[in-house]
Amino acid sequence: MNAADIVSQIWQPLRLSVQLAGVSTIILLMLCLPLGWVLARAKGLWRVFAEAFLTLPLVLPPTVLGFYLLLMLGPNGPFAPLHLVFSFWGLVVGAVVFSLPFVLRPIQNAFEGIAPSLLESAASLGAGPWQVFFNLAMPMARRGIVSAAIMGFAHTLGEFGVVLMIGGDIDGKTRVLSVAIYDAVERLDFALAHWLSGGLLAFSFAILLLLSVLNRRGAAV
Amino acid sequence: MKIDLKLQKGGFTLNAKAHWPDKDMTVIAGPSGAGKTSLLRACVGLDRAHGDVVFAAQAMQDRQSFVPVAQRRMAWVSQHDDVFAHLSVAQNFAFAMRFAAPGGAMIEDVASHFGLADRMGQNAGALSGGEKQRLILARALLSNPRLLALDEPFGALDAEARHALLGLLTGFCKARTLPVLFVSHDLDTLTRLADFMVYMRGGRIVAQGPLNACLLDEELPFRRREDACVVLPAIAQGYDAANQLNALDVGGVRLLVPGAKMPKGEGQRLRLRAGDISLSRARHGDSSVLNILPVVVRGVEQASDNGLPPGLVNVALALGEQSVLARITAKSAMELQLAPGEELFAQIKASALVGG
Repeated sequence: MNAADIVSQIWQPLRLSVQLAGVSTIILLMLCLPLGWVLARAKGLWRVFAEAFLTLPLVLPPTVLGFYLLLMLGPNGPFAPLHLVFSFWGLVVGAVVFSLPFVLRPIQNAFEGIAPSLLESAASLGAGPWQVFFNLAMPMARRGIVSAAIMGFAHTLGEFGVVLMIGGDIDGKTRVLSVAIYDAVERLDFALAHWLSGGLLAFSFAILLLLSVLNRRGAAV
Repeated sequence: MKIDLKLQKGGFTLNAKAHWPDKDMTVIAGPSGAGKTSLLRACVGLDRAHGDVVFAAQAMQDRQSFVPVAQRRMAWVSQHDDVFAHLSVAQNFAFAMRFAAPGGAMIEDVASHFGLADRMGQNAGALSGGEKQRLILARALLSNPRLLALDEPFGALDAEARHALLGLLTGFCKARTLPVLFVSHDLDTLTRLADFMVYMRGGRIVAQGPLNACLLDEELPFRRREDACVVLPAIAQGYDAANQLNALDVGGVRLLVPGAKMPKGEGQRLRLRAGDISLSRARHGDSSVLNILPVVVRGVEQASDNGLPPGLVNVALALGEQSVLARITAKSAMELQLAPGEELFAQIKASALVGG
């Protein structure tokens, strides 16, 4: 196999993976910013239940998640009319569910780290809830939010089980990097598997390195 | 402010009914756990208690309505370090100005009043502890509030820095006739600041009234404290530069107090500690005590009264139009055979001017 072949075989899944991770991360941030804010300031029993429920994807095998998502999105499920199974947007739904705790947790932690009295002081100065959120909470939690985005992106990039369950392995449509690696190994195409795996390894390490640098710099300020 | 509030918080019940002036400085005092902070929070609208709050003839809350904290214009300063650490000093001020009703103070004036004019570009998180306190206070004042609410103000500062900041605060609020409602268990702070007192115990308001009346109230602990004192309004009348003495008019009585020159005609607060007043039947001319003034005995608190340090009694006195307290030994009280209505001389050793 020549280099051009390898590049073309890498390019499709890589593009798809990055697209999936990017779109999912944006959606996750839009979900988790308000959710993390509400949870950080919530009290009582429902918070405990909500936190346990939203942490489930962290401990469940991806195949279990994928199975339930398949039932929900499949032809006999409640979301059948959306035709999400074996499509890119089906993968996005799966990725969002799968990576939710990884994005929610750092955001919620960052919001919880802001002293309630500080936000109350701001309110007593005349700042309404939205102004407090956008002008104080968001900028003060920015490090947590950046960490969350990086974690969500990296985690989605590496997901496999959920993707395989609801997306299958359709070239150019649902064959993301992790699936392409599985595929290559099954075909005994170890050269391709090496390139893909090595790339993902290097990329993941670079991202964790970046995260660590960001955290360190934040701590120094 | 007129309040009638009930609030259940864990095992604690707040049940407060009171009415105090909408002007000047009002302290919420009481032992720890009495519910002082809870009451302050409920008044400002940070916690939603059942009942009514009326301030400046406006209902802040009643059965039907509840004005949210952001619309009450009651600037709240907590016990914590609440600087917006991700912003500069100037940006902290600008934040408050964004929501300020027109007609408030200018950033430059407030910044220089609180000694922050040369810190404007600095990151607020990098300020010293004292500077942070000044920033938080200045920021609260810049929001042009109708009431300033302080929870244990400046408790983290050392006495000198606290006195200086309380002086700056008093100056600003008096000049703008901004009412202040504050929580304090510290006798020094409340004698420097308060004009009116609301005293709490076990979630209830057990006494309220002008500061001096509360300091002398037999139901309250102040008069039995070792550092029992009264605070009298005084007006500077003249200055003896050679001896560095201010002549003060205290309710028709003239008192000499050492210190820097006070502007003539300016109102001052004079704190007289009960332990600094001694009594005699004759006016001694050979004493080191400058102020020897005629007083009338109003009553003698018996040594057996609970809470007084052993061997000591309180003697309530009329000094001109004012009520003061002298702390003398029970032995002296017996030897002097003090009885209400008797005229004596009080020797007032030292006294402190504690702000305007």
